[in-house]
Parts: sequence; C-alpha cells; structure tokens
Amino acid sequence: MAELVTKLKEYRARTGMKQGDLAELVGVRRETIIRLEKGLYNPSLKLAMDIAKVFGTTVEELFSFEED
Amino acid sequence: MENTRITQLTKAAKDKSLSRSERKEAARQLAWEKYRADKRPPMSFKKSTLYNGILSLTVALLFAYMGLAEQFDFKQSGINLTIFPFFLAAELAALAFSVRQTTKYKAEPSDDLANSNMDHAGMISYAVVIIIVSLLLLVLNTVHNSDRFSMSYSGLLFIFVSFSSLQSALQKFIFLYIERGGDVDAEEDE
Repeated sequence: MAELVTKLKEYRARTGMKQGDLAELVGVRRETIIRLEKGLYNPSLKLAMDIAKVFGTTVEELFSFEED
Repeated sequence: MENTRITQLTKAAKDKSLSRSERKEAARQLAWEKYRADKRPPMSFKKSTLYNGILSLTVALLFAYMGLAEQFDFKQSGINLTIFPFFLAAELAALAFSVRQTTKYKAEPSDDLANSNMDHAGMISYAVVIIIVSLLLLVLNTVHNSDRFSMSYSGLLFIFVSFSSLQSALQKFIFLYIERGGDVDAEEDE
C-alpha cells in the first residue's frame, strides 16, 4: 500500500520556518502541520498547493507516494 | 492592507453571485485573516473546544437535574435547596470562565482536519446518546413495570436541552480523544 511521504520538515528547516508560522501562513492549525510531517494526514490539493507556494516549489517535490 | 483584504473577503463571503463553495472558502480565509490581524495571545482550537465541552457538560447536568426535579417534585423537599445551587454555580462559573477566555485570547479557527474529526466525533456522540436514551427507557420500563410514562411539558423541555448539551459535550470530548497525542503547546522540535 502506498504511503504519503513529505519533505515538509526539510523545507521548513532550510527556510528556518516554525510549524506555527507555516500553519498560520497557509490557514491551518499547527496540529495539521505536525500530522502532515508525520505522514498521518493526506492534505487537500489546495493545502498542498498553498504549502508548495510558500516554499516556492511544486507539490510533486514536497509530497510523494512510496510503496511499502 | 490587512483591513482591505478582510473587507474583500467579507464581501466575497456574502456575495450570492459566487458559488456556495467559493463563499465557504472566502469565509474560511476571512476567519484566518481576522485571526492573523488579532493582536491578542492565541488559544488553540483544542483548548477552546475543551472549555466549550466543559460548559456544555455543566449545562447538561443542570438541565438534567431540573428535569428530574420537575418529574419527581424535588421542590417540596430539601434536595432542591442543597443540590440545585451547586449545579447552577458550576454552570455559571463555567460560563464566566468561557467568556473570560474568549475575550482575553483569540481563538484559533478550525481547518479541514478539525472539521473532519469533529464530524466523526459528532456521529459517535449521537450514537452514544441514542444508546443512553434507550438504556434509560429500558430501566424506566423495568422499574415502573409499565409501558406508559407521563411527564410535564417543562420536564420534557429540560430533558431535551440536557440531552442536546450532553451530545455537544460528548462530541467535543470525543474530538479531543481523536486528536490526542502530541503536545502542541510544547516547543517545536526543529
């Protein structure tokens, strides 16, 4: 079964952005960002695009599916 | 600039020429814009949900007691003078605390994940309330040894409000259980 893998934490570390700051920028709670980074939540297309826009990258670069 | 954006989103949220989903999205963005513009210290959605859950629970207990008092005529006994003020004080204290927190802090708006978990919690809470009501009716049927039960209109109203508040409280506590884990208030692990 395919699992969602994200480079969100890596991009946040690169830009020095905190989870709370990112959450507020894209209009979600910090819990949502935490779950996204742990792979416990599949974001909506809009949320994925908003996050990609913040980091100046693409959705495909940030999120991918990997087979177990 | 913030006010311009807020004004634009406020108009968009009420604009009937837009589709329902567009108005809903504008309303969602408006809530977050207002949250960002608000200078008060933040209160997480989970915390505000907890406080509202406690308030709903105190309302449920108060109205349950009022319904029972109406049904079993507590007014003539000393029970009403000792227990009723306790429930009333608890409810007023919870209300005062909730109002204080709402004015002192800015409440974090919900998001898709919170709405999804709250809906899930709502379904579970309705099932629990139905089970409770069914069990109560079974107990009453057994105790009274009769298939008939009479209640005054005011007693019925109190019980209805009590169960509505109980469902609301349960929904919030189940939501908090679903979202358990991860101390969000702790420092971020960079």
